[in-house]
Amino acid sequence: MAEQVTVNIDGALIRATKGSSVLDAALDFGICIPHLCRVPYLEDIGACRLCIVEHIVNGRSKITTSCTLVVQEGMVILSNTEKIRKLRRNLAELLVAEAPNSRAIQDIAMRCGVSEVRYPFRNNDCVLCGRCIRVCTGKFAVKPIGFVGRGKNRRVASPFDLRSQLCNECGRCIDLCPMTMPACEGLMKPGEERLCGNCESKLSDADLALGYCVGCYFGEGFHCQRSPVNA
Amino acid sequence: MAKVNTLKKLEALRNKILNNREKYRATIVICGGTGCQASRSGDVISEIKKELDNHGLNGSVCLRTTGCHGFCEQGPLMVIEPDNLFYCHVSPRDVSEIVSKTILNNEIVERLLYTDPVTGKLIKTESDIPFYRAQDRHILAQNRQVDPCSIEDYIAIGGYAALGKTLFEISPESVVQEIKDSGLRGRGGGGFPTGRKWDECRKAPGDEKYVICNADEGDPGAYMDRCVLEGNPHLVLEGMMIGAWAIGAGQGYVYVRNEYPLAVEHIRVAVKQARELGLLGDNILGSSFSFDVEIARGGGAFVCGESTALMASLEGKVGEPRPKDVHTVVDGLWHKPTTLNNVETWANVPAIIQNGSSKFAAKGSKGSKGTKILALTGCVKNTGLIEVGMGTPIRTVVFDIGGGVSNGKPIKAVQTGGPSGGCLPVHKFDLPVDFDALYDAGSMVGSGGMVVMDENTCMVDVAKYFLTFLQDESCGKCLPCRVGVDRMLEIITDITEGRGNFEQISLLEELGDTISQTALCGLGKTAANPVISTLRYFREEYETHIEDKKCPAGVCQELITYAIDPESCTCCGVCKNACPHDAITGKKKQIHAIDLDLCQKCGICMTTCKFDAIIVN
Amino acid sequence: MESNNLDPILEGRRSQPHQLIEVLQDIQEQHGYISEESMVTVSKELGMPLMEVYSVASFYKAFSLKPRGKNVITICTGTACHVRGAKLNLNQATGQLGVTPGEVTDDGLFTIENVNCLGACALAPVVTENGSCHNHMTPSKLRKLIRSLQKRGTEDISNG
Repeated sequence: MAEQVTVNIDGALIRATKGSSVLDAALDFGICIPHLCRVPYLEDIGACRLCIVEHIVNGRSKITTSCTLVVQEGMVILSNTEKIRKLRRNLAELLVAEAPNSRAIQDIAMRCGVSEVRYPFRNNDCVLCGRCIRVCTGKFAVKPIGFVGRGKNRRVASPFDLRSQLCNECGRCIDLCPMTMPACEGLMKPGEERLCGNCESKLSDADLALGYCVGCYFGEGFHCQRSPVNA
Repeated sequence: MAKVNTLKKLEALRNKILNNREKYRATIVICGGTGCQASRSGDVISEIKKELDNHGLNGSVCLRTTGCHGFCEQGPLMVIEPDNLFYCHVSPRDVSEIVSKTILNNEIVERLLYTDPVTGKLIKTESDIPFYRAQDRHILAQNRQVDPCSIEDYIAIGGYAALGKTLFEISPESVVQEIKDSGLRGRGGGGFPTGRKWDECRKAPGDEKYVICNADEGDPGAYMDRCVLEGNPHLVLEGMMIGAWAIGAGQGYVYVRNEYPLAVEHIRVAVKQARELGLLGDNILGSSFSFDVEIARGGGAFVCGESTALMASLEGKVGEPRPKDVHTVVDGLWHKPTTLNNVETWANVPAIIQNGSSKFAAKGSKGSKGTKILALTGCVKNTGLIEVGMGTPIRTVVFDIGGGVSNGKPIKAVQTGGPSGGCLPVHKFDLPVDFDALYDAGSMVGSGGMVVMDENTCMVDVAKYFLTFLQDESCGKCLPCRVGVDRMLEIITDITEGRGNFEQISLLEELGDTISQTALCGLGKTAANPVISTLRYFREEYETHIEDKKCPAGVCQELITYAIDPESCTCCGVCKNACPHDAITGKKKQIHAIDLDLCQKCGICMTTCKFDAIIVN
Repeated sequence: MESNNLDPILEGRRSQPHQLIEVLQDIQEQHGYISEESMVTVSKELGMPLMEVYSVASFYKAFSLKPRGKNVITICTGTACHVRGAKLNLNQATGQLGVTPGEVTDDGLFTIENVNCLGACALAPVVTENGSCHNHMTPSKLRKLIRSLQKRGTEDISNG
């Protein structure tokens, strides 16, 4: 039996396996911390920053991503303070302004409380979450895809942008990609991007037990395992 | 040379070198730093060698090529020991006179002396020059005393004595305690207490530990580390060795940005020479300490100045930072405990050990001890590399050392701390160079870059400049930095091109706050500082750009137009030739005119006009 | 064939993936850019996936994945240079040669690059070309410099 520790998340005393992340512990317990780049069976990288929480140490609060924070005995975590909700909302706003053409991204924005987008919309095909690269094993455990370039020019590609022979054509990358779920009302043409807002009424469900899982529909088919569709 | 494998042999070697130098009646010191090299000091050096040869003086006059002396505007610089006579703007043509008059006849060549711009008097020695007098050149003074490619020079001034003292007289725990007591804080920008870092690393479990010297000085406008590494590499090596002994490391790395080829060359030579003498390798000076150093070059990425990105780069990977929930002193390079410190931090260590921590702590302010090297650049008369005691007011740096404004326009602000820092207006110039004071004011000491700006600088443009830089250098891994900085740049570009509105200012502030709290690494976390600090102190400039769609400083291209003043135009045609876009028309003896449709507002015509006939609206 | 060209660079570094950046630095210095063939060779000889080599080569600014012009004019756009008018020099060069930074002119003679700080800040604005460092550069000085390099280039061509 794996060693366990007790952590305090939002006042709940949770038993977690030693070595697991705060995000894993919270999700297992039913505390809903929004996330994008996390895939349960893959290494967490803390890239999307959506899963941020407040880690209270010596009376001081440190904001860090819960996916990269390993559980320690007696740790105190706050995942749903007003400060965290505001930061998460701003991050989700940036995210949906980049790539509104996906149900998964629109759901994340809604779940994080985005009601208006103050930036001009862009119509990107990729949010650089890195899920495809991390799940890919290619042939002989050599990945045919990876990140290329830097900063704004970062993109997912294979060497020299040529289809690599190492690709197994297994399709796991497509399964995990958030952009393969078109927005509810269909693909948005350039210039017609908008925040969907159709599920705004479901937001109140999600806020019923602030932060705890209420089986909302925002993770349908995509990132939340607890969604009734996925369960 | 035989290996120096005991402390006695090191001392004997030192005495031998000093004795060998008794035969010199004079030493000609010429600055070979990058700045003076760009002013052709290399030609001066060749000329000196020839003259000394011609006069048969090679046995009695020593020629020493050194690293940067800091007074780059006045280069090529020459100092003649033992009287420390200071000559500036030395050209190859001056050399024969210098040798025949000064070296052979003890006569001064007056035209090569520095003229005090205030009194008009000629000044003979370095220490009397106001630029130098107001400084405390604790580290930089050594640059004059050593040829960076000569380990003998370093040993002659007492080099590696601190190492000897450490290995045989002080335990590792005590070394850490000394550094803690000194109050030394990281000089690379973070300002983290060095002693505490070493202590954590020393206590971290593991047999294999590393020390790293971060010489990836990426802040634009900063070149302190370059001058220390180029001019005195052994000082840095000795510091690293003392640190390695303290924490229990057997291997060190120096990571130098590849834009500094001279620094790379000099540290490589230094390591080679140290190995030859046995000062690097097994059982150094006969002790139980074995240590060696590898040099690595950066690949042109500012983000690799961040410690985890640097370590990824050393491992041959992409320079992406990783979360630091577990500190690198516990889990660093190759997942082993690693102490990473900046060049200047390491350079301060030998003196602390040799002279004691209390001497170091006697200088500076309460929270910031010792001295700091600064790169003073921009709109001041005396730009260059300086070193001052912590706690020195900015006013002293800009006016006493910098000599005040360079072209008549009043000074507006000083930018400190590079892209992670901020801009401070003139009414804040009484603030001291101090980690906490500058941080509270919305800027930071950072690595030491200090750019002085006059009223021709648009502060919104400055914020845009830094955002453009950070957007280019962002690694792209995390959302807030990659997208957030880009969006901030988009908003500021709107403002500088006349499309701004007032809601955007609060959006900038909110977005800046979000990025600084959620970004993965220091680059992202401090990316908003230039925007936030200029909003704090120069808000009116933003408002003028938005409300009046004007740029008061005349910089933002979309908001200005160029025109030729018919009263001043002499029809000389120089601007017409200079315009790369063929936007100026005008025949001989005809007043010239700018075609606004073709004009790209690059501003080149204005720089070429000798009659101030081109005006900005 | 390519492997022979790279032998001196790969000497002592084979099967050591962490040497990747040093190897690429040497290739960039000696060959002017990192070709696809050399990336394939490096991947084989250092024992690491081609994808990783490509990722690293495309991440760092020091590496050019396309051949560059005969004369590389590097304009420093660091803070000190910016405040002293580096943008004017950049405008001069791009206007005169008709290319944006990173591209090669049609005659293959020039590439303009901008770098974020060369560390010679006291002598701003700074421009380097072919290993020479020019300080206090102005647009008119730069115009003359580019013209003289152009003249040298056409002389070389006519001399065969």
